[in-house]
Amino acid sequence: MSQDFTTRLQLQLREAALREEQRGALGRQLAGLRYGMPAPAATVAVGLAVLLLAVLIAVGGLRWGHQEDIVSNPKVIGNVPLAENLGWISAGFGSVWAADADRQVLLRVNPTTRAVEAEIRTGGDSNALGGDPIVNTGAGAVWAIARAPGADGGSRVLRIDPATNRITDRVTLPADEAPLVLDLQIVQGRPWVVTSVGAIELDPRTARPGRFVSAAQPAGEPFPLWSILSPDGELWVLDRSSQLQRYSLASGERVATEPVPLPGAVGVIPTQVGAVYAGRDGVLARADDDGKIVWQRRVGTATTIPLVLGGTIWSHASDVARGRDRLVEIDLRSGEVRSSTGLPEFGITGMTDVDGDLWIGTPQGKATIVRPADR
Amino acid sequence: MQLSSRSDQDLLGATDALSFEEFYLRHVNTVLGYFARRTGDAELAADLASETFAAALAGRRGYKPRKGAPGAWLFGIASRKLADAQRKGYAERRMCRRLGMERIDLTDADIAHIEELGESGLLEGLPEAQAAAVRAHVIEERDYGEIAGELDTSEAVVRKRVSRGLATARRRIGRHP
Repeated sequence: MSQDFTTRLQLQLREAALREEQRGALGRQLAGLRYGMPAPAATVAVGLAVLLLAVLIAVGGLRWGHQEDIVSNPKVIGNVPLAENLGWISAGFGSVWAADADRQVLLRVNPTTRAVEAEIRTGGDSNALGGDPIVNTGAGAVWAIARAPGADGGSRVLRIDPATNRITDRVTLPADEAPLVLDLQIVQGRPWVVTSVGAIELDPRTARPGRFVSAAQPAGEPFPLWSILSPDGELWVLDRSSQLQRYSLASGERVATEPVPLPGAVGVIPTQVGAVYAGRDGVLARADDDGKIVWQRRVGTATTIPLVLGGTIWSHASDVARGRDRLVEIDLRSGEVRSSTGLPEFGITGMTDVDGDLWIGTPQGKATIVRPADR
Repeated sequence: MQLSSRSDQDLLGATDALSFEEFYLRHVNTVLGYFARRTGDAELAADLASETFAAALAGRRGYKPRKGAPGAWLFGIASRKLADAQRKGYAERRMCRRLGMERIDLTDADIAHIEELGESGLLEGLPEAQAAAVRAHVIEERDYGEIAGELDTSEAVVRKRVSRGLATARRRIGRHP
């Protein structure tokens, strides 16, 4: 009869040990990097931030009790093993494109059958945060970046034809403009590579580098804290002095320098109603157009840079005091938590919208599929 | 779970979840019994055992064989947890919270078993006459006269057996669980 207690404690310890084991693996990945820096989030990939934030976990409370007000939660409808370790993940051309970060291979996954239909060998840095290759879709192609180790350039951009799964163009980026590649985003129909020193526009037909928008770095900073492109054509650069620099992609000029209203912010996402900031202690906040905080909410003891879809923020949150990682759904305008869903896996490497379902890549190589309640 | 022939040192040195689970299974009853004996409170013993194993899990990478056997290392943690609990009046749950382990509510059967673990450990190794006297007076809470009558001996003898038995148990608890 006493086995009840000892068995329950055994199971709790097993889960905790597995979690430690998985976080240990993430830590080793982090430690293997020459530069511990966060990659910027495209709207589809958030892998880097979770690694950084996991290291910076701070003790804090999380009001999971909000679940009591929730009528219905999103549901986990699948947990699909795809690789040993997934990295970036994106959706487009009727498929899910996920990085096999152990083998530096791009996986093409059928979202209906959930089977891997093609593997495209890209190469890349096996130690890169977020898990190489970087992948995104748009402008008529699938785009991948195979990063070179270190921060001395040598990264290559690959243009892939989704009709044939073949790499049609393979271009090495200029080292002075891309010493370190952070992201690849599609803005107003054009592919852009976000780097540690600015952003490079690519020719959508040939992948050749074109215009370069330079972002000045404060003295002593080899790379920004965070860089991201806004849908309306700006490069946003968050530096370590809590300044947000905004550059026009059209002119290349700096158009604004703004103080960051959330202390300790490590990432920012431009939205239609102002900037959403992510703090290192599991805090998310939204500012209005004047840069004032409208709402601020702690969603865990660690969180990633979230995915913003329409009027909804989807944030992956960890809470060391509560066990399971969760997917938290937040109303963009009000900051109200609409739902909080326990996830079967620990950690996240990327998240993307696939016909209304959310596909979450995990360090365990699985894609966790979550169906929102209103779908 | 099938227990292997690996040493405790191997189990602690490994970083995988199953190795620690096996280490836990080897020691959980001893740790529970230790806390049950020292606190006389099954609930507190369960909380302390949970916190001790959580701390061991979190700190296993810090275990160094030169500092002693894994069992001694584990009971070093247990002793500190017990001392903290006695000072504060409750079992701290800091490590459990850190690892996301929720408090386990005990059933009556759990409580009975933990008390049994405490008692069996207390009496283990005592001469049969001393064990019987301690069981009757300390565990069953019967008075000396009643016990003396049942054993057909004097009350003074029963007192002496209980006293010696408890002294032996205390010495053992003091240096070994």
